[in-house]
Amino acid sequence: MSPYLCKGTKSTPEINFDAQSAHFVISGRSMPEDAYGFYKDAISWMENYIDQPQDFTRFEIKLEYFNSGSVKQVFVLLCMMEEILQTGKEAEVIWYYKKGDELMHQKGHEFSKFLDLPMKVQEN
Amino acid sequence: MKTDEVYEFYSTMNEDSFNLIYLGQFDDELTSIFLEINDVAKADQGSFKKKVSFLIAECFQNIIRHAEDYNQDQYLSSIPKMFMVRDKGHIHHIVTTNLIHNRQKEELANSIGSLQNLSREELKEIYLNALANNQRTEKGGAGLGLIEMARKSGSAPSFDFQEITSELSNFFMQVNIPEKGFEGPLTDETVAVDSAVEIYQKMQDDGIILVQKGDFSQDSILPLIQLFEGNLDLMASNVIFKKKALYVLIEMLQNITRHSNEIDNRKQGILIVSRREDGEYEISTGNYLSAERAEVLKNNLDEIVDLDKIGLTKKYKEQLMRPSEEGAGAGIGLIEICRNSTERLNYNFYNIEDDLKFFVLNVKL
Repeated sequence: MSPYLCKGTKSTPEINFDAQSAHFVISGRSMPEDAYGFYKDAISWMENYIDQPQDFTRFEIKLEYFNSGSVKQVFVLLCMMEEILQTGKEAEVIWYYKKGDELMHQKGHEFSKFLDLPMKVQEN
Repeated sequence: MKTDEVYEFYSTMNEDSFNLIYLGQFDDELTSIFLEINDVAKADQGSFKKKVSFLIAECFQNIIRHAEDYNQDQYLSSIPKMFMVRDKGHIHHIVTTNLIHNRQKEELANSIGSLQNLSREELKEIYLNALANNQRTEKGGAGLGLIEMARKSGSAPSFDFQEITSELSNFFMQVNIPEKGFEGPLTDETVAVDSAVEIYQKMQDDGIILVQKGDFSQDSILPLIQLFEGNLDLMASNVIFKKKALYVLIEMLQNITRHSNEIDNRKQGILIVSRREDGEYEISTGNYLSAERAEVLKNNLDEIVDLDKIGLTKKYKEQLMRPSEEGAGAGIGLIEICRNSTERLNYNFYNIEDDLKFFVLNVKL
């Protein structure tokens, strides 16, 4: 499976999903006008991946900022990590926030409450 | 700000196809943001865009240069300075303010007056003369700056003085730039500064720091966000507040981008940001909606506006779990605005035509 790569812009994040190493990263600012359209390909890529996931998948979120539309799409991606756990394989989410960024800190905690999977919220 | 006041303010700028006003403290970094906004607004107007950009930079530096004189005095440096870029009919205007000693008023009025009613060639001659004579005021080349503005825009700027104290006045200068192909002469009415003075006073009275009327496409909102970030930096707000304020601002702007009805192919609307004495910010937006959309939105708002924290979190989770629909804004945006607002949201819908409403939303932070 070839990796899913997407370069960042002023309003969209950098996405780097590598199936081989089972290491996924989303970083930067995410505020596309049409978040559903922007994340569509990443989400369908992920649907394929979770059919045959690696033994241990690590998903890192390093967002500086996201809009409400992106919140939902990122949530969909994280829900897919939950599905990996159901196949007996392992998955972990690390949610980074910058020092003093209470908004991303809060969001991380909120998400970890809503989701049933190992999730670390940590400063970077 | 009451929703009625937002609507009223919007209505006073009815003839403006675009208007961007910033009132407050200035630093050099803001210049590039204004240039970017101009780039987006006039993306399809090649050489005219360049001309306006040049004048924006010149006017902006003018404000900064003159503001330095009063940095030492707390009261004087707190008097807000205004920068306005405004497109009205076929004339584009750039308006700036700066403080000036009353005793210099006459000299300044005379030097602008000497540039009036001159042809392109005559202006060029004066410019070359000024260069050759190395004519310098104490501010270094202010004379040249004025001549250059008149040359680029095709006429001497219009101006007005508003006395502040027995020693000082606010000097309003308005550069008037006709669009390419504009035939008619500039009438007194089209170059009048009155309306800019009125807007300045209204903004100062209400603590308004930023206004944009015009198109709210995704491209045009990015520099606005930067401008707001810049103001928060200058006002030395804390980081937590800054993030929250930005979050809400972006949601409100993108609501216009996503849901607004297009009028003449543009997502027309208004953004007003004000800063109250206690440091609290208020963000208001206004935009057009079809009656049907307005109805849906009103129901959504009525449903969440009186919920408490727990109720909102519950609602938020519900929306998060709902399957995505194509293009839908997920409703999460409104809930997030509610969660971050310090007071109950104010909103109202005004009738424009049978099937068209103007929606105003006011949020306190």
